[in-house]
Amino acid sequence: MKLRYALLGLATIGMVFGLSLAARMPSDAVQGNSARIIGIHVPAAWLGFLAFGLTALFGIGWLVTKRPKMDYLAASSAEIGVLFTGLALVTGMIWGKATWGIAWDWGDARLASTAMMFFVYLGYLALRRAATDPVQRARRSAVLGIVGALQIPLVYFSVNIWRTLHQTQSIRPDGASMPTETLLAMLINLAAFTILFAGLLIWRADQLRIEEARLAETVLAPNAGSAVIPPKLQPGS
Amino acid sequence: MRNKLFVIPAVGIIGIIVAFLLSGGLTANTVFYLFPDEAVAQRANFENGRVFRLGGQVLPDSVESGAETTFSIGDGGTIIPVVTDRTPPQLFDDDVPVLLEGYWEGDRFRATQIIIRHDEQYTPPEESNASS
Repeated sequence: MKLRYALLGLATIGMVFGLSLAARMPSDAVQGNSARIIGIHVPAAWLGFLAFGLTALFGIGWLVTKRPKMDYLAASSAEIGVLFTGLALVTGMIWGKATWGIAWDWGDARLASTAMMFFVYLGYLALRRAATDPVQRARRSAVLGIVGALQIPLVYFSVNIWRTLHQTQSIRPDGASMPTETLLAMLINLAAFTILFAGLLIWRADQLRIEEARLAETVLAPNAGSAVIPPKLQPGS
Repeated sequence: MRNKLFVIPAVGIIGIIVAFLLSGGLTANTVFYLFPDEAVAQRANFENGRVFRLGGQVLPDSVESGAETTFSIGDGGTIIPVVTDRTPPQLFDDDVPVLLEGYWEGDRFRATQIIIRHDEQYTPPEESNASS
C-alpha cells in the first residue's frame, strides 16, 4: 500500500531533477533549444515499449496461472502505455514542426508504425470493454496483448529497416552520439519515467481489482423491485 | 472456441503488418525518398511532373534568393539544381540535410515542399556563436 507512494515520490524527485538537467543541458548547434524535448520524448516512447511488452508478459502470465491480478496488471500496463505513446507522438510532432518544418508525415515508417501501435492498443482497451465476463475478457485481451507486442520490434527498428525522416537511434552499442550532459538528462528521465510507470501500474491494477469486486457485489445485490412477484395469469382469464 | 479467439486477432494484426511491409518494402516507388544519384538514374520513371521526394545536403554557397529560391543539393556524388517558390524553413542553411518534395522541371528539380532532416547527432553550439 505504501509502495506506490514511495515510487511516485521518487519518480517526482527524479523528474524534477531530470527535467531541470534537460533545461540546463547545452542546446544543439542545429536544433537550438528544441533539442531539450529529448528529456520527455525519448522516455515517453520508451514507456510505450515497456508497457506494451509487459501487457504481453502479463497476458502470458494470465493464460498460465489464470490469476485475475495478471489481467489487471496487463490492462493497467496497456492504459499507461497508450498515455505515454500518445505523449511521445505529441512531443514528436511539436519537435518535428520546429525542426523538420512539418509535424507529421505518413510516409515516414517510424511515425506511421508508432501511430499504428497506438491505435492497436486503443483497440485493446476497446476490446476489454466489449466483454462482461471477466474470464472471457481476460482471455481475449491476453491474446491481443501477445499478438500486439509483435509490433514493438517493428516500431523500434523501423528507422533502421526503412529510409525515414525520423533519425536513427542516438544510443547504440558503440556509444551515444550526444554530449555527456544531454545523455545524462535523457537517462535520468528514462529512470524517473520508469519508476513513475511502476507506481502508476501498481495503483491502477489495484483500482481495477476494487472495481471488479464492487461490480460483482452490484450484480449479486437485489435490484429495486425484485421483491415484487408478478401475479400468475390464469389461462383464459 | 479457444482457437477462434486466437485466430481472429492474430490474422487481423498479422494482416495489418504484412500490408504495411508490402506497401513500404516491395515497390521501389514507395521508398520514402531518393538520393540524388538514384533520382538521376530513375529519371525515366518520373517524367511529366510525377512527384517524388529527393534527399540530400544543401551545397555551401549555392543558395540564391530572388523571386524564386535556387540552390543545389548533393550527397557527395551527383549534384542536382533545385528551384522553389516556397519560403525555406527556419533551419534551412548550407550543409543542412533536406528532403524535398517535387518533380523534374527540365534538368532542375522543382521543390513544392522543403523538409529539414535531422540526424541522430547532438552537438553543442560552438563557443563563439553560442546563443543563450
